[in-house]
Amino acid sequence: MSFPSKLQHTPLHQWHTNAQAKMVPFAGFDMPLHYTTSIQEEHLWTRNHAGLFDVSHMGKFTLQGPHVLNILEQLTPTAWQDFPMFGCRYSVLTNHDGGIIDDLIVTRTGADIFNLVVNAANQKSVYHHLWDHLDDMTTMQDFSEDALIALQGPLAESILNPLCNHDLSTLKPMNAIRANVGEVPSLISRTGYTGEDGFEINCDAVAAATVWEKLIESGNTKPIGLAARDTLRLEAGMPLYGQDLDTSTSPVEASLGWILRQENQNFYGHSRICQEMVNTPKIKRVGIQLLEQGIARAGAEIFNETGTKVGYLTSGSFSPSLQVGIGQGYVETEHAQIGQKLTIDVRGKKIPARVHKLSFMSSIKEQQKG
Amino acid sequence: MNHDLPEHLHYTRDHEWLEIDGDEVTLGVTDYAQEALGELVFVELPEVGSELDAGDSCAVVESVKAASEVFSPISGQVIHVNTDLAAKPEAINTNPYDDGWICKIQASDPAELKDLMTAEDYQNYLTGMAD
Repeated sequence: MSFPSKLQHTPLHQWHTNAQAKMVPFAGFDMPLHYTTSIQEEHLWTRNHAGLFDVSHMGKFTLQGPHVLNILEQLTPTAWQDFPMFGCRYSVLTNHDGGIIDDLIVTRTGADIFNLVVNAANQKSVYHHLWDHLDDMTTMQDFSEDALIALQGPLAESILNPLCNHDLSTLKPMNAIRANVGEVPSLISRTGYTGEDGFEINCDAVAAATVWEKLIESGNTKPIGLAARDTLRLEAGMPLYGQDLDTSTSPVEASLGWILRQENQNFYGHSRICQEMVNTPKIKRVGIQLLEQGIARAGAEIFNETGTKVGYLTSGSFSPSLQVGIGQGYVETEHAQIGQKLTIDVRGKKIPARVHKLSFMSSIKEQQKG
Repeated sequence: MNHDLPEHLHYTRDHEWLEIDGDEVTLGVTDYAQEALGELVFVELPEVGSELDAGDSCAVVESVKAASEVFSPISGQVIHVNTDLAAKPEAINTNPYDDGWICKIQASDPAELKDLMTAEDYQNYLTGMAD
């Protein structure tokens, strides 16, 4: 017996079903897994042209108030005092034990106003976590019902620029502007989750279909589902919360030490995280490349050359760009150097593999040139 | 949705097809299965000479997204495998009943073949699943 589910819809849900997308439940939303072509075609279209992604399911909050910088410096290990207006930055929310509550993109939209985009699956828990840390002078707005549309790929700028009343060629990566797409007021940031150049467009839900269709009409972009979004981010070495990051993993273990800033010593989990920065953590997140045919999936165990278990895979898939099995996982730090030979257990068979940089983008771009 | 179901083949509830030639049986996955799996990118074949019991997993077919086992409904020894699938796993998508065959098995218990479905039975089974 199955029960009717109460899945939420993004403002573009009707468009996806009209386009005959294969819809699946994801983080409480009914989302497109892929459209009528294959996952590989969608993936490669993004790498070679530009893909269009409905990421409206992401949680979105605004924090505003005179103490917002202090609050952010308690909740994230990053420094925000000198962060430029309309800058975007990747960071994490840490807990008291130095684990990760969520990873997020923060955009400064005013001197004391910050936009936070968080994972859909964590929207509620992040909301409560933020709420618990507000003071009387800080307000929080939940604008999760807004649309968020990502245009990703080498043609992204040439597609979006003609539709926009602002020259996007001057917009640097990890920066945002307010501009119109067609007639639709939007917050456009040069950010993404694919390893490609691209933009994320935040606009009102009622205008979502207008923006989406304008972009589709350009002819150079196609809608891309969650499945290819996952293989694209995996090739780019980006973590997926819930798989590659969780509340017990520290940002240092997750190889996200680069988000830490000396100026901020007040954040949750400071003692563990600083200790790990100095003494190196026991385990580290690395990229994994299989050296023989096969695909290792999340949960596969990783062994060193003498057959001792040294880690496990947290994400694993077939790389449509490189046509080999790739993944991300945690291995004991002494086995984490790039090039380290390992084996991975796939259904009882040990497949040779090696530690790779988290990102496979340089190999992919090289291949595209050749 | 209509799926290609050749009349001369036999079918299982797990969406394998079998072509029976005496006690030599060729096995693959059905058109329905390949469509549900999506584009295949890797096939793990059984070893020639390996002994299977009815219900054993004899191969694994993988799409970008997931790995799925292929089961043999019959007992016997694997006598041939389709090594072309190593370079062209997508043959299962384009020609599931022809280039997409997975392995040939020397059946050891012909009685097991009686439990298989005809094309018509399998069509009814698929229709029932859709309801």
